[in-house]
Amino acid sequence: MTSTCPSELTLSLHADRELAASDAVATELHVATCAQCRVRLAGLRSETSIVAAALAHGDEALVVPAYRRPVSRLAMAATAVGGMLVAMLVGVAPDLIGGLLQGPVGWFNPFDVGTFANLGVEAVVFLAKHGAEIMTSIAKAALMAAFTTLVGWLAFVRRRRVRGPVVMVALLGIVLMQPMPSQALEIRHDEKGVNIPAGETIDDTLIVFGETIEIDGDVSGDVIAAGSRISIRGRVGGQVFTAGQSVTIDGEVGGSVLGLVSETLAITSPRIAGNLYGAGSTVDVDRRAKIEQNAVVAGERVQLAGAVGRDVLAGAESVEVSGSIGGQLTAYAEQIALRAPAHIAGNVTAHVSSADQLSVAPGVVIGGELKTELMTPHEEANEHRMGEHLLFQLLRFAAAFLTGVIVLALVPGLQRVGLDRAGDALLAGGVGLVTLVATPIIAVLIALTLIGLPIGLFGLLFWMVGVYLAKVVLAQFVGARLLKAADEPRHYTITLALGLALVIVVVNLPFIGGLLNFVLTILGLGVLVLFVWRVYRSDDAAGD
Amino acid sequence: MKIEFEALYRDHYRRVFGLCRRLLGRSTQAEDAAQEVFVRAYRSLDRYDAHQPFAAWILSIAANHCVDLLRSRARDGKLFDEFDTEIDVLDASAPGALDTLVDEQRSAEIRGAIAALPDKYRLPIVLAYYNDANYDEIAHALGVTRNHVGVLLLRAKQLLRHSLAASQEES
Repeated sequence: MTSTCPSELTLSLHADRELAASDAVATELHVATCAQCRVRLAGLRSETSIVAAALAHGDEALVVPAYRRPVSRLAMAATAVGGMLVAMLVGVAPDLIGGLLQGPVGWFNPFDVGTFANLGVEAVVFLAKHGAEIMTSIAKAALMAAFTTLVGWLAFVRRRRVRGPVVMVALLGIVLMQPMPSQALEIRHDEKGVNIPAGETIDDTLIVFGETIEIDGDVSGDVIAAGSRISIRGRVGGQVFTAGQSVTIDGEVGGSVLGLVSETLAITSPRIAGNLYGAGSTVDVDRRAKIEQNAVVAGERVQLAGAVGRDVLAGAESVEVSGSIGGQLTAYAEQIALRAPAHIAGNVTAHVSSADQLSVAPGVVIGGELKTELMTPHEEANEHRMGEHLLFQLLRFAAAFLTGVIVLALVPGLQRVGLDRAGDALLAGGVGLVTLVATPIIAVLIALTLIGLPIGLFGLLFWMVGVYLAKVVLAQFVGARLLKAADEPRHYTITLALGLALVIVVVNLPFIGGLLNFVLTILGLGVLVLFVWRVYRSDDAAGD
Repeated sequence: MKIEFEALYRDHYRRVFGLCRRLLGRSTQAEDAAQEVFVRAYRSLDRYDAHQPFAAWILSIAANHCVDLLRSRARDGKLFDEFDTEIDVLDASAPGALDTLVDEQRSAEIRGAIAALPDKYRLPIVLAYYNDANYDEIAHALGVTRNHVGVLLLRAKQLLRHSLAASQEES
């Protein structure tokens, strides 16, 4: 080797045919005269071909795994919507059947993440409270901006000829903009209480939140009211939807009444033109009350002293009827009492566990037949509750399993999410916690900006869906890890079922169940957020 | 389109998986990575230029994905540091030390040695000699200069010589 010999780097580049043409020629000329470099170059070239040959082999035994169709954006959106629907169903179902089935508020209820869910609910309340104002001010601001731009443009561009008319149009516009556009919705909210006084008339749908709600004035649209004590004495043109601790409806209602009440739902309204759907600890339809259509009532104690135009369906521990019913009466109860002056035009079907639980007082008039259907006797109360609890857990399990199977089939990548290293778990936990806390806050903040209201609401919805899916995804991961540890990797439906079963048991443990539930939620949420983030980042990267 | 893509998957999976496995080295996540590559390809099919061979396109996605994976795993997210552009001559045997008989066993041994290389040396060597990429393509994929690629490759070869010589002495 002489001092003019090319370096090994130069020879290596030359062997890879990556030298610039002039350098390549020079190297070739040198190699022709230098035996040592010729050997080195030949050595490098053969190394290259050996490495290439070695790399080319080794996959002969590979079995190509079955093709799984990658999920498209559309399918992802469909999954999100589907998940949302399932979550909503699961979230709403316990409320609707809450009076009948007193299952513990669900682990799989997306609204149940303790205090954090309250944040979300408060955010919704906040939006409901300020939503209309925000929308109005947004609309006004946008209109004003557009108008100012137009006026400015006219004033500057067409200055000479049209200055007079521009000023007139501007003035006209400002005058026209002053009266508020009539709102289709009136929202009132006050933590202590909302009172709509007797003289006041609201020409739109009224939404009210508050501790105590008293509506003495008239409302021409629907009334949606939520609070602990609600009493409606004014006239309501549309439907009434109420949820609260105790609800009293005294005024006339042009539509139907839906009341979900934890204590007493009292109806004394002289006229409800539609149906009554009532659930509460006590549902009391006073003798002054008149319901023109059907009544569907459920609770511990149901008293029907008023008049119902058509059929009555009642389910309760005790049902007492002393009013008049235009159609059939069907009741499921432990005690059914028909007292004078009850008048039932159609059939009476009493579902009781023994015949002596139905009593018909003298003076009761039944136009049709009186039928007694015996139900299988109830189990011991405690066992019964236990049974309900188990049933509820099973329902939850089924819903979560179904959701999981659908989501994991549509997004196969989720089957492989992992927390293999401690760092991953920490990261996922952190991201999950931030998502859990920050999303509702950000959603509310976004809702305050110009175009943000729908985005904010959608953000909240996605957040709720995410909280639900988080546990499903994490359950699948737990199941997969367990079976992997046992060296028995299985189809994802099996790992999902195993994981869900385990997780349901774990979160139902006394004392630590709540904490574990919280930890699982933030971990799952973190995994989910990181997964979605990676998918979207990879979408951007894939095109490079 | 779905059926077509399934055919593409069957035709190219082996090669994509091979690249992922070689790029990712000893890590066992090559299968996940290969699946992910097909998911990405599927999502960005609209950006695929039909004049280009599909293999080249999907392999470039695979290379990018694996480099990203390794980068996200690396400390500070950096695979290549600035100061290793200088080559220090390793006390290695002369080029050609690999030039012994190459049988099945030896070939597996070489693959093992490549898999054991640090990420920054394994990536260019796999891209160059398995994927037949030129220095410019490697430089682009790894985000380094062309010169840097030459140095990394030579260094990788020196390390291979070293580790294979050592393993031969042992046996």
